[in-house]
Amino acid sequence: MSTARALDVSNLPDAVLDSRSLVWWGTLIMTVIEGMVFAISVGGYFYLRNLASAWPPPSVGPPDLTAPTVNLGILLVSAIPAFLLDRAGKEKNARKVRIYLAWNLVFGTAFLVVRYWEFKALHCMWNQSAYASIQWTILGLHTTNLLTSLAETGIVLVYIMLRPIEDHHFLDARLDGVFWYFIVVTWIPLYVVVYLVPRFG
Amino acid sequence: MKRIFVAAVFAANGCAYEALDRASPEASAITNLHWLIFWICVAVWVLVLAFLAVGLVRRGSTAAQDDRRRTLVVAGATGVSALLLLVMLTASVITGRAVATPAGPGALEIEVTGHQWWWEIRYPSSVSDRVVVTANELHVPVDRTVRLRLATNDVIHSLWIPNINGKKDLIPGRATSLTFRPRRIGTFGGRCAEFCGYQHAKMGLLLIVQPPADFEAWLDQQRQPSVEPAETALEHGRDVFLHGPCATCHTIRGTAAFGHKAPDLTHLASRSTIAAASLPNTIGHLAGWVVDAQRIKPGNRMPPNLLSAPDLLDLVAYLRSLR
Amino acid sequence: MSSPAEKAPREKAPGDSAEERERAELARTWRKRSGKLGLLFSVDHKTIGKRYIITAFVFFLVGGLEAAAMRLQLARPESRFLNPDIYAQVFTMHGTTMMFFFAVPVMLGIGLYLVPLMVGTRNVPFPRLNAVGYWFYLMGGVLLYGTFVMNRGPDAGWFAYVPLSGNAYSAGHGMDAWVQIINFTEVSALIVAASLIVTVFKQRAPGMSLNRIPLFVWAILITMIMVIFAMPAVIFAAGSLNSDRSLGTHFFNPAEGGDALLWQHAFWFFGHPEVYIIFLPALGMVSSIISASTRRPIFGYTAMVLALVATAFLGFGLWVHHMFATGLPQMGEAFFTAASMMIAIPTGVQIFCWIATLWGSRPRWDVPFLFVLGFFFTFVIGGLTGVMLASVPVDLQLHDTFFVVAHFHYVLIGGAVFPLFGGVYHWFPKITGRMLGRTLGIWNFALLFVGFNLTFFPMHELGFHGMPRRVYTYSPDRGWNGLNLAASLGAALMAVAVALFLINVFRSLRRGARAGENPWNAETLEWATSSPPPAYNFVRIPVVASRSPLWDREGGGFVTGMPTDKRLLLVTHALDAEPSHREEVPGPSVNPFLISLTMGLGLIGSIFWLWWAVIGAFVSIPVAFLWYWTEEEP
Repeated sequence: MSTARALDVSNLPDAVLDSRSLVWWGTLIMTVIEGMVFAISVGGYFYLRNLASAWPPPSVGPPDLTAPTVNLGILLVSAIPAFLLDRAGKEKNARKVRIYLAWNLVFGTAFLVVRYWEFKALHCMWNQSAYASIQWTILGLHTTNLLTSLAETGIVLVYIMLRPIEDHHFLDARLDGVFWYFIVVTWIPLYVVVYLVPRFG
Repeated sequence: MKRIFVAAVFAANGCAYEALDRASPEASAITNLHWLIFWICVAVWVLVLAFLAVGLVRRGSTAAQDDRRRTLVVAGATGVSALLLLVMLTASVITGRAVATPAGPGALEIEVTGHQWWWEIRYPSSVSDRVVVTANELHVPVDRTVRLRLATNDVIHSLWIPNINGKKDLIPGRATSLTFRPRRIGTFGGRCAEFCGYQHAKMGLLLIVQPPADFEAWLDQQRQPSVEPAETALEHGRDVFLHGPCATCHTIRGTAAFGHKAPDLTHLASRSTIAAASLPNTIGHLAGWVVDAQRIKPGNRMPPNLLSAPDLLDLVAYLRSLR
Repeated sequence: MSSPAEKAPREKAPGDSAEERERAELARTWRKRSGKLGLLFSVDHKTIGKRYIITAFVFFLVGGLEAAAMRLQLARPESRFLNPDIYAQVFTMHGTTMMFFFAVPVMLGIGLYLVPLMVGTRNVPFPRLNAVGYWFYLMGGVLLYGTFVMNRGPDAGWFAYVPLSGNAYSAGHGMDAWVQIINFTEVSALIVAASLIVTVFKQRAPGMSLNRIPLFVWAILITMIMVIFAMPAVIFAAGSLNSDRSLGTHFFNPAEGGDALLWQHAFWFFGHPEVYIIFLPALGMVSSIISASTRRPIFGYTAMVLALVATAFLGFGLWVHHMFATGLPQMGEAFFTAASMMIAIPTGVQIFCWIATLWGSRPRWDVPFLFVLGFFFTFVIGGLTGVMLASVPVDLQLHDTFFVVAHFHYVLIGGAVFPLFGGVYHWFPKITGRMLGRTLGIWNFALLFVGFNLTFFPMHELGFHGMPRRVYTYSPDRGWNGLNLAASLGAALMAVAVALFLINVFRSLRRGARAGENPWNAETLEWATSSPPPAYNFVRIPVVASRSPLWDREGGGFVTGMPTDKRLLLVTHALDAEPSHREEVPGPSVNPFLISLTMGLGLIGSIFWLWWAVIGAFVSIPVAFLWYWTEEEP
């Protein structure tokens, strides 16, 4: 019979606010899933483009660049409050977390509003051609991610306005910021695919 | 050895063992490849089970030197497997090349269009009255390369005539083709091999390989307009056809019937089957088909036709006169 | 019966009354909600795992009835038992049920039940999300069978090729429902995948470094990673079909730039990994059973793990072998032949390592071991017919014939269902505390083995004889009569075998021999706690120092200092499992059920009116808020 080893873990922290956390890993996996959905959609895009003799179809013409580029700008700028939110969470600064959650919500909403003109910039409705269908799908998928992120930001913000903030809420705020990075980072290649490839590709 | 095996199975089943009963060099190449892979696989299966059986009954130890020996055996087995797979891969690629050689300029081109649930066959020609349109029966001359140009406008079908080559899908919006060179005279069965709806099971066709002279004679006959009715009964039968719903779907060249949704019936009596090769072309079967096709092939596109007995008899007689 | 379980002396705590206090406090902290309504609140991974397993087996039985109906119809030529409309619904339901509602969920359920136990933790990291996964799965099944019993079921095959599955040729709600159930089942699988991946990486018992994880856990981990990468493809495919059908998009419409083959590529990019998602956990079960039966660790641990990884990786590169008849360029076809043949190598490595483990071991011939032997016999046949089909020219003759039906049933039943039955016999004592009957088990195995081979072996020949798939009948002069009749008789035998299994299960639940902690004297941690385990899994989180912690206790031990008044998980570092921190997880709640309802009903409603999906999403927001609000409640 062996002597059993007793491993004392009573000194371990009860909450962490970084990549050691289980929730952090869960969020990361979710971004991988969403990223894979985008990747497959882009694969479908190039598949259809490969089959087409003209991309976009001649009657449609390439998408406008004004609204999309403005919105890309808004999105890139919005990474700043997301970063500040991330840092405020790490520092456990409740006041700053509330402020930057609100800023995140403001930028996200602005982005959402301009997205309406991004759809219009395509010059086609989803049911007019395969080109239109895949463009709307890619834009729509990204928009759904955006809406989920806004809902999440809203829920966390309302909660911490109404109740005392605890450690794991700081983690949630950080993860909100991290998910926003995902929204920003995935949009850059998608912007190229949706708006630049039909024009220059 | 292979022949004995095949013959034994033939005898055991007593009928055409289709994919292995080759009638073209393409089918032959595929069959040879198949036997190579088959016997390698049988050998592997027997060996794996033999090792398993021996291992189960032996008494052994778990000493370290046994571990080294085990590692070598596992590594060796893996190496042998990889080698066998490489052999099969190479054979497969070589056969694939051989089977897919392009048709070349002297090939006979035939257009096959898949419909739910029949095959439209068209022999194109630059001269419009030399075009031949028929259904569910492919005639080709022996020893000449044939290239089937496949198309469809509804759902995905797949043309498969096992005796002469593998199958090829018919896909809406895409053009595919199937090439073969029949070496043997005879009649071979084909069928649809991609689920296409209710009557996928009964979407068959016949391939008839003929001596070149017979083939030309057949083509000439098919080019003629339909046979004129020689008696009043047959005339009455034609009237029944033209005044009923038949003409909305079927064509009989030389009459006013010009429907394109169903098989061309101009030379119906020259075909040995009806209903996409699912029934013999006899008076009884034809009458039954006309009256209630839904009972024979539920879900297919032909509606029932309740005709009086004289109408039915005359109609069938007329159709049977369309050689 | 198994040899008497050797119980190694238990670690003695300083005073047993202290341990009793600990147990009582743990039991109170980790208790579930009582009563019938409490069933809606469950977040215990074992409860949810059992639900998945039982529900999946119910679907297995229903799918089996569908198969029986098909075999009845095909037993004789020109039979009028089922007309082509019903037959098309039946074979669509059989495939959809077996693939989406039985095979994947049962593996998810077994993984959910066993993995936290095997790695030495108390629950999965997101218990409430885990509950959502199950409710979604159940709702999907209800939706599918709802349409079927109204004779409006999907009828374009489980693979739903366009254009047949599009609006023009499949009007009506059957295919709309089919598309929606994809959403339900794939969300459910993704949730379990996320849960188990994080469990395996972050919650292993201290000392359980990556090279000490049980092979079953490796199999599940790799499978779950495959789920993450494969499901998005079916999301895209089903979503595109859905929008083509209900929104007028043109993904698959060649007249407007779409392509029918896009569906096949997207579907099979998911579809091929899907069968490995079903198959890999079964390989893990085979490892567990062989090591318990031979009392040896599996030979070649590293090779086994690498083989699993290679299989998963290669599995993503094979999908075009389902499309060899569509006229793709030859160079591409050659690549996919090579990949489809190459995947036999890692599978071969596993088989060779198992045989090396068995060699000279004089194993214990228990019922789980019999099923493993059945696996060897049948799966190797299936794998080899797969190699035959990998060759393009041969495939062009055998594709879409009964040869393929034989092949995939040999690999799915031989390669996954036989190990699954073995796994059930192996782990039933742990889950229920009772042993399954041995005599009945032997009959169960023997009849299933004979019945299975009698059913499916003749189908190889039917394929050579030219019998295509998905046909509701055949003509009597083709020479297919005898083989079809034999197959149908075999199916009847399989039905008897399954009936015996059910009898065994129900009898043993009541009167089976009671099982101790470790009736098989196996090596992994799930056998280190009572049968069935308490809600909190282990009184003390174990510390391990070997791959076979129950055989090799040197250096092992247990964790102290974990508070027992909150639902705390011990989180360890991903590679070496050194303790990192403690993280609290939520307890029972009805919010997962509620949000499954709001989102699920929204999706179901969208079949009839698109805006229901949006309404469902909006209504889910307050529920999500409520969920967040009550996260701390124990």
